[in-house]
Amino acid sequence: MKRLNAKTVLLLSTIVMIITNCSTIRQIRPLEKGQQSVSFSVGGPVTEVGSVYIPLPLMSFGYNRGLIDNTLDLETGLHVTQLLYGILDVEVGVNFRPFQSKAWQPGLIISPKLFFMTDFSGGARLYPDLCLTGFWKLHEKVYLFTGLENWFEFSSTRDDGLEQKNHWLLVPYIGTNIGSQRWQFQFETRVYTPNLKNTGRATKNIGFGEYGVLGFFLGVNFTPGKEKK
Amino acid sequence: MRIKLRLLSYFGVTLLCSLIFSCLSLDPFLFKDQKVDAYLLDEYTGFRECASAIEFLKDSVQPVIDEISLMSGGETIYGLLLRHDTTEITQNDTLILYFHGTSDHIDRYWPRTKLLFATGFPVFVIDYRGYGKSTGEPTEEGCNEDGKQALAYIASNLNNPRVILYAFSLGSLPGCAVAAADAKGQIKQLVLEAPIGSVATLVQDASYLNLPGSFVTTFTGNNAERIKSVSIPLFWIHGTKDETLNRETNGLPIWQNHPGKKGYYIIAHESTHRENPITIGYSRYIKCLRDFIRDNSPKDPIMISK
Repeated sequence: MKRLNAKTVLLLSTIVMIITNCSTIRQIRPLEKGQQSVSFSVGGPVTEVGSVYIPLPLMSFGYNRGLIDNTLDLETGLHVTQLLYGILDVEVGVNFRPFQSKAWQPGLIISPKLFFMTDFSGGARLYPDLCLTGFWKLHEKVYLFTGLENWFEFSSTRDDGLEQKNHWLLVPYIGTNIGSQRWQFQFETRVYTPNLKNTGRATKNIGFGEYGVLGFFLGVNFTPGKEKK
Repeated sequence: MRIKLRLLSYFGVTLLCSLIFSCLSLDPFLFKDQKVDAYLLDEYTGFRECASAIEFLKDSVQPVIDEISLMSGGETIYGLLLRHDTTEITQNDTLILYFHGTSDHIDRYWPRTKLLFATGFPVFVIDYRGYGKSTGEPTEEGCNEDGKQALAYIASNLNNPRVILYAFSLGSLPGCAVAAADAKGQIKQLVLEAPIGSVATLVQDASYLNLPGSFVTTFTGNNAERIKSVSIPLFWIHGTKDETLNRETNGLPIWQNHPGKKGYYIIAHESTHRENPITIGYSRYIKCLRDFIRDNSPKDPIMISK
């Protein structure tokens, strides 16, 4: 019986993760021009599976490439779990770093992105996303960060004919990035839509009372040395 | 160059693995079916919805129970017929046909079935294919077909009585499909408790966004549309704290789109998905149903609290 409950929870949580970017912040540390980085993250909304609540193991790959030394990098991502279910979910955007962390002054990453999703059967969606991340370089090997992800839905009507009431979805997050320049590990906590009720959605998540959905993620980044020119 | 190749190989392997497995479907996950060899009814020790109804009804007339099997699209569908005595049901009688929710099998809904029986009318409850003793695996079309065959069985084997179709939660998908396709007018009244508005609504409620239902499932059930061709009186029950199916996005569009004579609806204040009969109160729940079936309903919706 628990197996079957888990199946249903997985279905509905998959719906959740389709939309609200279920991955870690891909690139906390700045990249030099031409420098590349690949990342993998796993985690998701804390969801009831059987009789326990666990973060769903939703997988995502990312690729970043520095465009301007320590200031601008290209970011792309592929959400693997969705692909397993026949949905191509890819993202592309940039990370712009107007200033770096100095002592207790945080650095800032402004990350405008586009998410494209299609099920190859006529259904396709394009969503803009804006992440604002503040980060502190506490040590050569330790970064702390926090930020706010903003998803935008421009439809005024849903496919079921009802009014689309949510046009701006907020996802605050906090995390730490630990490791060498080459390998980094990341732990991140997200709160999905803390301003929206988490009930009436056919899935049970842990939030703050009736609001929001808590999520936990683990990530790993591999950043090879500076590319030879 | 080596780095580029390595990166390409990471993505290549990921993409390849994903495409290999991209035939995975989420459709089966909508059903939480469980098979059993026999129905235990009052003796069932697993989770039962409205379990306290068994105690509540212990002094009332106990049903004469017949286990019934019927064929539906090559599958054997099992059900239970609850009667007050062994007298045959006639064309002038009223029978409640019950379509249960998504979990387990008849035993889980046995207390609910007995509450319906307490209205004074015989009850016929079925397990969809893959549920309980019924063979096969549940599918959207299969469940709809099972519902239609149950109705056909009532017409041909139970002397074609007046049918009141009571559909709860997932059961509203076959419920509305069967009611909309009932060209012979066999169903006289429809009761929807905590119904699904549409599969698309499930997806959009869960995601908060306007995502196509096709992202998640091939199911297309749309009760809010189907109800437009159902003109029989409708009785709608929905809790204000339904954590599974939002009242405003699921039940309300059905109620508003229903073109026929309205019965009435109960807003069960603070009630969750599974607890409407408890919130309303068993005695009042039974009376409301009985009033509706006897066409003695109040015209305005009523809000009932615990």
